[in-house]
Amino acid sequence: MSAVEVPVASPARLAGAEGETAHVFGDGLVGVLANPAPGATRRGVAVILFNAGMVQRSGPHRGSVQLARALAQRGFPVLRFDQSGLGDSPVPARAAADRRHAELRAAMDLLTGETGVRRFVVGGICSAADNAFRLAAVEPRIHGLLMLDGLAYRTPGYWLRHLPPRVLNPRKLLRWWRQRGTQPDMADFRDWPARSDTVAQMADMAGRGVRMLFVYTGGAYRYFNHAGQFAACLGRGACGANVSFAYWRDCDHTFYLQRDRLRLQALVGDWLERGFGDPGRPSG
Amino acid sequence: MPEAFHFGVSSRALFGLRHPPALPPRGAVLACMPLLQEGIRCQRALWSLSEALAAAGLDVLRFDWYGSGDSSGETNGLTIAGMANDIATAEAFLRASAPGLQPRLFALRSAALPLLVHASRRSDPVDMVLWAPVLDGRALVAAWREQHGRQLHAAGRFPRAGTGAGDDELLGFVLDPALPAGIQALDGRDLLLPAGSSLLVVQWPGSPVDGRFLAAQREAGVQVDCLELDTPDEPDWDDPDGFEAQLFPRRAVNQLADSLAGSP
Repeated sequence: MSAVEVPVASPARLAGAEGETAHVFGDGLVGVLANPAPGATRRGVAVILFNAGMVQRSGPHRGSVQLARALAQRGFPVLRFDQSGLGDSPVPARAAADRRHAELRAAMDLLTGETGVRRFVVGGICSAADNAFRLAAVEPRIHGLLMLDGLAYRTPGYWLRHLPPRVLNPRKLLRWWRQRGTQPDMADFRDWPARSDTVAQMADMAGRGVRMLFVYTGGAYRYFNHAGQFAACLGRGACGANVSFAYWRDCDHTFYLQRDRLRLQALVGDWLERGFGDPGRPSG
Repeated sequence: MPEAFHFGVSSRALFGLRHPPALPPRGAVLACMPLLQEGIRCQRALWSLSEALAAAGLDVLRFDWYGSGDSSGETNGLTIAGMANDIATAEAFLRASAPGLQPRLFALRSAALPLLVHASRRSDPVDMVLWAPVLDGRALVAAWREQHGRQLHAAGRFPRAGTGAGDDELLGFVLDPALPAGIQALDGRDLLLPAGSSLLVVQWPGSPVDGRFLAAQREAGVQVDCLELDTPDEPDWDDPDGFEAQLFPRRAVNQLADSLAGSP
């Protein structure tokens, strides 16, 4: 933030705050762009963070704001925006099969216009990761994926670890019996491709050089519960040199603790610098 | 189409989202977001309310407190005094944006406390709407602490027992200890609006607002009206299993929008 306090004669609007600028783009989508900090190395990619579930662009516990500002300090432009029907963005006037893709294109065009960057890393938590993965199959400007509790598939090993402690615990068994059918399951909210399609897409993206960071937390225990499950469910593409992976069992799904938000910022920042640390062309 | 921008002073830039009406406005509303997690959970409901009011010809400004949402600052920069100042800044901005219109000040739940602090310091009458206001600061902070404990130890968020948060963390946010302490010290029932003010209190059936608060305002020369919503769709604000879920009492939002649109 600037140390110089600039009195503003209302209703004047500030050009930005802490290097951030607010935007309405596409069909009324609302977003905030965190611009690279002055003096930071200008990078050749920009980051786009989608909504985590139904949470607005600031993210759970304001985690997306913190992440965006931390990455901007390292020189990466970051756009957080509300997809249609979420946060401050309107419900789309008409249904379109490629609505999310159109929104992403509008976001990328905005970023290119604002920063000159033409390569993008997209993702976020939960449904944000799911959306990013799906869009990476059809959008060539995506060069990286940030998958926080993104898709995965239950394996025999998952069930072997998941069921015995529950079946053999009368208290847990009773609770499951009472709650059966009354509480939504992860599958009720997530719309994942068939596992074979995902494996094929992983291999395809590896061939395209798309870099991927997968982080699974203890909050994904309903479908992911061991580091070894990652390669077991996503195939050889998960073992590629362009894929990074972390399993944080002691962390929750929405990064409730500041401790976890800070280590996420460090992990993502380091990963971006390793994979996309090349200076970009000066904008404008 | 809404307008998104930052306003205020550069050292304390606030994020604003204005819902301008298509036609020249016949009224203006300044909407204050509830605090912390409640603000996140009620965001879409207030967006919907704002859109409905704009469609009815009202110029609506929502904003994020300094240190919250898309405004500048960190969450540990949130203070009661700061929030009261943010309201003044936002109100001045809205007045300048919609000349000749006195903004109606609106607060949902915990936003009532900073709004009452702001209004009680003024000498000129205000026009205020409080929806399900939280008036007891001590009880509010106690509920926050209880919820925080549940999230850490009982809600199934962490697999291992004994997960701890920093002493300065509450409900997933890093706070200056002065904030909960300051809220604890607040009793909205003691915060009186200037004489000549108008106050509309909106409540769900079965959740009446403290009669002492209403009586004190009337005694201070405030015109107090109450609107009891028809639908019993008040969310369970303290449900630990719904802690991350959006709260969108759609029928209540629609009724309130109709009511406010009809009485700018």
